[in-house]
Amino acid sequence: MSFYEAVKEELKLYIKDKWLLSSVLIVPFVLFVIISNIFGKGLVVDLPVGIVDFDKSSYSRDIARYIDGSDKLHVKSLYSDENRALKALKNNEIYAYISIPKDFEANSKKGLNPIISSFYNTQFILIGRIIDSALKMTLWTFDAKLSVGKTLFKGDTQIKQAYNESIAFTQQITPLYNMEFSYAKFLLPAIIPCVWQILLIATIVLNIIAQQRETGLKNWLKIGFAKAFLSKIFLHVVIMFSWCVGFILYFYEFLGWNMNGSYTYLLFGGFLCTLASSAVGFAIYFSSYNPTVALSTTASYTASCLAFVGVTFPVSDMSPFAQVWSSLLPITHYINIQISQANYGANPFTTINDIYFLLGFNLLFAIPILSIRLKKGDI
Amino acid sequence: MSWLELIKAEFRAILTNPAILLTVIGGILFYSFLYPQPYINQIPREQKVVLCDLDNTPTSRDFARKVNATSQVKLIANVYKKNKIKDMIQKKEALGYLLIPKNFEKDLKLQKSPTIVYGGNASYFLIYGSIAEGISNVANSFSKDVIKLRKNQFHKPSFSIDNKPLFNQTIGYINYVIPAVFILILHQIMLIGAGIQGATQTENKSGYWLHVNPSKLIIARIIVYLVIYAPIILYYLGFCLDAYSVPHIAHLQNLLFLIIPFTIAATSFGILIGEMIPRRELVTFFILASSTPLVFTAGFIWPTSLIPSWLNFLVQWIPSTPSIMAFLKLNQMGADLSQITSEWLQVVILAFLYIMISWLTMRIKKAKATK
Repeated sequence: MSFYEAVKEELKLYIKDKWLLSSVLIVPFVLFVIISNIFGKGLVVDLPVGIVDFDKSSYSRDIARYIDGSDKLHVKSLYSDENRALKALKNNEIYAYISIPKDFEANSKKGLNPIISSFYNTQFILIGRIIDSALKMTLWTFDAKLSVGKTLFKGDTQIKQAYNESIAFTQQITPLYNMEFSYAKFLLPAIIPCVWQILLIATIVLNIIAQQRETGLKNWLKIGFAKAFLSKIFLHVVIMFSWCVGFILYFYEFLGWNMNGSYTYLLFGGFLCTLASSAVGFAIYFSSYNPTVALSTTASYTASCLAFVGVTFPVSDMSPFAQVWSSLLPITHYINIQISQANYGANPFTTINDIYFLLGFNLLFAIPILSIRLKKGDI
Repeated sequence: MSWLELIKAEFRAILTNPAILLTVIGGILFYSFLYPQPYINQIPREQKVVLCDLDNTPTSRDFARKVNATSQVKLIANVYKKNKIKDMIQKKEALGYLLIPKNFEKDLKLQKSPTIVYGGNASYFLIYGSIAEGISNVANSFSKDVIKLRKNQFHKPSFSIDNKPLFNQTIGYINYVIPAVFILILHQIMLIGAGIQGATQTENKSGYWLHVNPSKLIIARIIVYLVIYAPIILYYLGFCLDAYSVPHIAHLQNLLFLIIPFTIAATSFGILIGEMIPRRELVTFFILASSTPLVFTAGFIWPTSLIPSWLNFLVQWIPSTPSIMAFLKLNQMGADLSQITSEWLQVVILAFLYIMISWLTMRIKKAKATK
């Protein structure tokens, strides 16, 4: 049987097992569509907050207006006491509440420096951080404008100068490589490759299981070791690498995110990651020859990969064990390459270690080869 | 078959099925160890920031010193050329930068409002966030101090801000991720357990389960799983949360009030999956594939109000979605039972729904088999 015929046999396997076919075509598509829709444009707007106003002055009303005017915050309700506000916070109706003390306006005019307290929900860290910084920015601006004087809302030309006098110096904050500060741009390039990673390994394992069920591994290996392996890997890589090309085009062409580096090098990284994952999948299946065990191992190995790749939580702050585990996932290396190319446009040589790692995973192909040899083909 | 015999048979079916045991017990133990690993050190601290102090005066050095004193930032080098900054960030030698302009001190004295520029590598949001937070806190208090020293500013109205974190006061990542993810892990494992059992029986084609009334079978199976999962739940939500120092505020009886319907809902959904999916490995595959979307639509990472409504509607049918939120409210945020009524009802309704659909599916299958 020629290699071409072996690939055709492989294709027949996919066509015969509709579940296998859908696992490489429909499931990735559905997952990618769902995940890219979760974050929309990735911009956080109108997070609900509450206000407890003990002062009921023009200042306190201005503060409420200022907060509501911030694009990130939305004043959902006013509460008569803190208990009700706290209850709403626990009930997840609001993410924070701002408490304006009695005599706030009078005391601030007297220079007594009253304190506005706010309580924000840090059980949801990402949301909590956004609220914290948005509240601080809004209140600092209000504070600065207060000291400017009564011309506050009248668009006086002196405001800018007076405003400058009240804040000593200005700050310019730049989120490098993600200027619009989009959460989609931060999370999607990590989540989608991680889902791809899960599917990469799970689908090759499903494929070997299907082979075992349909023809038996022994019959499959009759065409010769190399041909059997290569044809299986070839078709799997063609299909799964296409998804990689797909999401790269989606990010950097369709969504128009910056691609500062080399497509060729990034795709090369994606290709090596696909191949490395095939090696892992083969090693997993041929360590147990048991479909359920193989899939359970795959789940244990891949399901948490997003936590380990270092985008949501820095690798440098992880425990030593977690750092090692992180480097044992092919996708960590792919994501390193992706960030270095797309964001930094860095010299490919800076991520050469990731390439070595990805190539190194191919050593895992030794496991199926040895295991089949040891069993003398009796599988 | 009597109830007792059926329950015994169910226990045997589960406890002698290596696939279920490996996935359920092995998965539970492995994940309770693996998942918290990245976050053991909690908050990222002392991020490397490169300083570019073009002013180099006592004031600018004082500012830099205060930034360096924060827990979030560590100034690693002082460079005198702007383009060196980008270079260091690309090489990951620094993750953020702080640029103090020339004439900073002089402009402050002249009240000319100079601009300090800072930022971080936003490819890594968490790092960026803590760098920005650290520097902006210093900048704002520094600015206030400068203003106070200016005579003409004395009697301007002013106030202070005190933002207090609630519920996860250390802003630790363990407290943020682990409680929610543990509920999801339990959920996924419950689905896989019951799902694999169902698929195994479909694959085997004959056995005691064919001779039992489906409603009886479902009830017995749920009881058996409740018994099997009881120690596992205690291990996860008791021992493990304790071991990772995650606060648990909820009373045991309140927790049980939620966890029992949660287990029933997840198990009955698992039974349904086991009836629908013909092969064991496919059960694991689909549940594995669903995990990532379920985490990000659960409402604790990304605000529910920003998730497209069609997607939010879809995930409301999965028991994990209301359960995660209800658990976080009860156990991390100190809500009382009345505040989780809607989630609780949703879990109970889902439990009934999946029991009914599983029952219908089993009956239809049985009717087909006897034809």
